[in-house]
Amino acid sequence: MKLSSGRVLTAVLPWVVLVLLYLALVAKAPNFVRAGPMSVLLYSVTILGVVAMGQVCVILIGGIDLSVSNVMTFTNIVSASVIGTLATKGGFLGQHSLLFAVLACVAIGAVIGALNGVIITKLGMPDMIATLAMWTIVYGVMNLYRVHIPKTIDPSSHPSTVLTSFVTSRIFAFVTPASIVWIVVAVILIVVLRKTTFGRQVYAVGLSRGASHAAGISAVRTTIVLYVISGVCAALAGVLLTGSLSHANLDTGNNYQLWSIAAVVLGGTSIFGGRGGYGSTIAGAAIIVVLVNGLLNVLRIGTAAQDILYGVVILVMLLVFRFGSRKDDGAG
Amino acid sequence: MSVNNTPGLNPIVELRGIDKSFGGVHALREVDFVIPPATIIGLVGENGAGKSTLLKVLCGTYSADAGELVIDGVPQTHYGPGGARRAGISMVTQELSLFPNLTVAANIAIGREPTVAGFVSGAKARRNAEWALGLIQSTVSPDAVVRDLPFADRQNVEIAKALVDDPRILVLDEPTSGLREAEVDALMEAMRKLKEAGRSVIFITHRMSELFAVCDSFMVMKDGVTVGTRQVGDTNPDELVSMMVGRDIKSLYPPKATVDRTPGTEKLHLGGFRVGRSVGPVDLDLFENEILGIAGLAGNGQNELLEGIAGLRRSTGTMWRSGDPKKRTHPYSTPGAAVRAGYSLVPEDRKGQGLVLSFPVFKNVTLAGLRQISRFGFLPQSKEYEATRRYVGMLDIRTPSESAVTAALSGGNQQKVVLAKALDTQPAILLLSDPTRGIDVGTKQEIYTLVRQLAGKGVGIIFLSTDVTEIVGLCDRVLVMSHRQVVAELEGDEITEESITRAAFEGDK
Repeated sequence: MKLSSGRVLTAVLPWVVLVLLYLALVAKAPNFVRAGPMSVLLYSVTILGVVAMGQVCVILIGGIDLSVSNVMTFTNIVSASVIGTLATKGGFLGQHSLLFAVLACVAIGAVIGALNGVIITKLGMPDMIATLAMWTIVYGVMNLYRVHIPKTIDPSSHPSTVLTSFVTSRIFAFVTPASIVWIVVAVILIVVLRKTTFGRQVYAVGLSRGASHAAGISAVRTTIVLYVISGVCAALAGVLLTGSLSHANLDTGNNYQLWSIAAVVLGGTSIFGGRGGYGSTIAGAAIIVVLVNGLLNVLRIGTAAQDILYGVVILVMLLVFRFGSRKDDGAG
Repeated sequence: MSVNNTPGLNPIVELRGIDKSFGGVHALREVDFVIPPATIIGLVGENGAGKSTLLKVLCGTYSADAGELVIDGVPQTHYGPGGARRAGISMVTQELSLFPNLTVAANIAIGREPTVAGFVSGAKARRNAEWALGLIQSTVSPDAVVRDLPFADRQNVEIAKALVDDPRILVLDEPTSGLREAEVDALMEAMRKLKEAGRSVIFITHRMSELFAVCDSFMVMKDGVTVGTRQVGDTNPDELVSMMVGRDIKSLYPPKATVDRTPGTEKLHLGGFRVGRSVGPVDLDLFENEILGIAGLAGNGQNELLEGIAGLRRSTGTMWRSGDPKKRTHPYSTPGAAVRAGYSLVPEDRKGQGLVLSFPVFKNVTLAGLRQISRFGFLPQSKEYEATRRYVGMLDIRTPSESAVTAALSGGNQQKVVLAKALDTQPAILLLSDPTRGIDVGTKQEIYTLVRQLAGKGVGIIFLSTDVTEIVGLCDRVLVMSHRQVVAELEGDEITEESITRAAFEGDK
């Protein structure tokens, strides 16, 4: 299949920008070629990449999930407290505290995602409103829950060490174990979106609900499934957050709401749905991490200037994409 | 060649030697088109003949690659949509361009809101809208919100919007395809009035009767060139059709079948079938080899009936088909279940329901039959291409490739893709909702032949149409609907345009 120049641009541009930003970072701070700092960037990309998996799924059907940030914070708190509480108890529960923490968080993410999906499809709420409401509700719930838990977990406990090294340790060069698992799952997601019946249905629903409905594709089912995926991805990202931070707080996930959306959009996926995919979203997530955790930090320009620069970069990239998609339309 | 170039009447617009290409496709080749004042010109040709492209050049949407555009004797250099508007050219396109959340008056005034002392005047906009709607005898209220209007009324609003400027040239690109019969008459009356006032109209329609009722002359196009021009007195429908198609169409319709209607051999049975709260109850039997027509004035529940059978609308009553392995006797509540059970619908709204327009052709062809083609949930692309190639050959779909974007195909070819999608599910019952709307004669004939072949191969066919001529030509039996009920059943020689129209109107009383 011959690709139009607009589509090639959309697929390649995020990676080109990523490489340029990284080179700029290294030019300013040569330290960043070393494995240590690289692995810090990588585990940050992994966490953002995991939330963005769910985000890209819902954006592909023209939705958006604003609740992901508080789902992350909530599961950060839950996983930290489950590990912290159970580890001291010993016995079966103590030995498997990490497993229970992960299961509890996945369940929480799935339930919140399912609620989002049902509110959107069955009550006919706009995606943005439904997930914004859920974002607030989750914030309230975790405030109630937080009263009962310690703020930090004992970093010396065994399960906590396992989780921390899963997220941050290097197995070779700068590669972390979590990043390998993430890339494997990412490849599966890319294949599912591109090559399976389910993937085709996602794009069809994103481009035309009317035609999908008439063709016997259930937009309701597709929507609910994708919001569940988004909830579960955010929950797993929250567990990874616990591994990287070794503590929990009420604001640990905050940035990920806009970062996950920005990662998807910087990857060239249309915010209106139906076009794009996860492959370039990975580049989008890496761009944000290199920019926010790398370049803007080493430039010593103060947080106000950092925020402005971050916004400008996003705008410029979107302008280039729009130019690309225009060419795409013109060529037919 | 010029059309009706009466001495002493200088043409309003002259297009000379117009050339236009898109990529490798030569859409127009050295086309001349002269528009004298006070003339109604029928522009005829199959889909993809270049009619719409020519009109878009006239309206400044496209600029020609070569050729001259002369208005009132002055050659135009920087033309564009603004130039067309200054020249008094107003167009009604096939795509509706209304704002659904605004009122009729606001839509008609859009972009040229009348002002009083510098302020937008709603009252004046309302009066203008009333005047324009009055010209086509439409009963739509200027205060109605467009979203709440049926399709035919929206079409009228679109026409009124073009009329409100009092254009010197009114271009109507298939304005009648969604209109009710009385509205078509009113529109033709308005065209004649414009002509009396010295205005000209360019009229595109696929209905011959309308062309001969109102036009003074015709220009026939095929494959981007002008085949010829004719005065209304010097030609007849047969000649126009053969000019359009480039060959003689001896018979538009395939011969009818002999149908055995022995009770107990029904292919499909509906009993006390109701769609939602308002349509029905309908009793219907469909037999082997049969094409069953559903006729009636537009908007009398025909489309709802088909959507009900196809599971797009909630229905109650009995419904079964012969050969159903599950022997189900009631309607399906989702389109997915109906598709799996062998019911396939070609929906009325091609762009909104029939196709994912930005998908490549092959993804549309397999969209409803994904389940059959998939292996363990995966879609083997070679199979999808293979299926698409099969339908491209069988239905003669003109597309650059299987992976071309569907939106880039002409209307007739898009409709063939919808048909391919419906056939790809291997339906036992095929429901066709106005499948030839806005399609040229040649493609219509191909679709009629195909539908007849399918009926012969054992597919049960229900054929809904708002075009009475094709119902008469194609169907073996006809149910006429009025007020959301079946009011008449016609068979064999009883099926005539007169009997159908009479039944539709009698039911209306």
